[in-house]
Amino acid sequence: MSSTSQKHKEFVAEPMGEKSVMALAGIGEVLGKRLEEKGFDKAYVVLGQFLVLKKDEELFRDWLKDTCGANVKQQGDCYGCLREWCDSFL
Amino acid sequence: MPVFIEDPTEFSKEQLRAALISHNVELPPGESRKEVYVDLYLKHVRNKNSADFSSDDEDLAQNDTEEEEQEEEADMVDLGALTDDQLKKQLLRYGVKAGPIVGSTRALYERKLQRLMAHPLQSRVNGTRHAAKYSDSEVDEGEDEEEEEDDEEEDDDEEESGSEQLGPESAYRTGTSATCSTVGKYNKSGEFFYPQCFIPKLRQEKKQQRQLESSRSSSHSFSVTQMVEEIESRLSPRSKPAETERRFSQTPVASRVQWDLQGLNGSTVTNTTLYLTPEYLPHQKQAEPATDILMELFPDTATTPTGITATKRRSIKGAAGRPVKFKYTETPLSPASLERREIQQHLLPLWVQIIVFLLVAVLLCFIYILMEDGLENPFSAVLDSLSEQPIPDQLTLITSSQDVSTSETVAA
Repeated sequence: MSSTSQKHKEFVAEPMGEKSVMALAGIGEVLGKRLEEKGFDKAYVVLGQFLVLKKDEELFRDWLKDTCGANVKQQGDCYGCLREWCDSFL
Repeated sequence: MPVFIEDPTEFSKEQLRAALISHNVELPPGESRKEVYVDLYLKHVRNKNSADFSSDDEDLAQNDTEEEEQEEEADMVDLGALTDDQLKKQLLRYGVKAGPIVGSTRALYERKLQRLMAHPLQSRVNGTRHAAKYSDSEVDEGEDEEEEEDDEEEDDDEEESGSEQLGPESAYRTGTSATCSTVGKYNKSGEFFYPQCFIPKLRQEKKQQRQLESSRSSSHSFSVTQMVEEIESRLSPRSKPAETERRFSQTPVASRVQWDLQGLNGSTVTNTTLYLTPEYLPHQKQAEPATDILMELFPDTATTPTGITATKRRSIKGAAGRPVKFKYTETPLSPASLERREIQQHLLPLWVQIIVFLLVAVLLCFIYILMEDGLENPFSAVLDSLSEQPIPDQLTLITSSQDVSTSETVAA
């Protein structure tokens, strides 16, 4: 089993509600700020984008890179976090 | 549009690199000094910001990126001219089922189409690898490479399981694993071990080597699987058509195996599995030289036509005139003995209970004695007076009762 961060575990443990986008795994202050400036101020908005991309990993990673400049690790963390959240709650 | 008002020199090197990547600018090679990053940042980021206002792309100095961008732009124009539907159809031609092409997704799908057009032969798996390669801003390149490999392996596994060619195999596997799970439950090696009754062809060919290697490297507790697999390897090259027979006769065999496992009492688990599983091989394959192996493994076994034998279980004490060979631990089930046991369990605390009771009784007596006046009958004075003078003199009664009451109040 690949290791998941504490942030990942916390996010996946409960419905995201009104959590900020910085609650997503892989998204820190810098990336979170960039996303907010683009209009993705809540985690559910990023979730919306994830779902519109049909939970496709490649497309979501590309989108994340374009939008906030996330590196591969951050992309992977965010993707994994959202995917697991969807598995549990969607 | 994000406007970074801060001075780029205040950025850390990593931030500069990330910013450069997000603007699709090639990074300087190796470990360059921060000033180099700052210069690049100033050139490209500022220029890009200005380019948004004026379509002046000449300041983008890097030649390689410029050429690439020109090529990309040419393609992008073509793709940009497509309507959403046309774009979707183009993607479908490459086997990509695109989701809704909305404002936020359009750019991504255009890029994907362009990638597919540029590399038409490569599949989606390779596409992810290329995507990983394109983003070369790794803070910790070693870690990321490992993670990429892990992701790719996971993608590969997902691809394999998801692709249609192997679809029936995976469904097959899940279906049969349920039936074989009960039989294979004694085996600790997990999903890779199938009892002799059933071996899917593909799995065997693919994973046999891995099984053998892994089983050999594992501890001695898995020697059962090792031996079974050795038998497997010896048997499999001999007769492949017989495997289909085995597969079809899997369910009755599985039930029989289960029945025998239940019937055999006192025998160890490993012995039963070892004992039973090779037994069925000669049974199913009529002309089977595997009996040689069986004889090698178990020279003492009695060969029966059905292959079913039972070991003797422990005889019931005193039943049917049999002598009591084994001394069983005394477990009397009669209610009298059970009650006695319960009482005996209370013996120790019973003593304590008696002592406590005695103490309390002594205490009460002590209190009674200590009381000066004793527990006087409040009517004793009246009774006395009644007995002495049957026709009471009212005054004397009253006075005597008053005296008694005053003496009592004084005493209290």
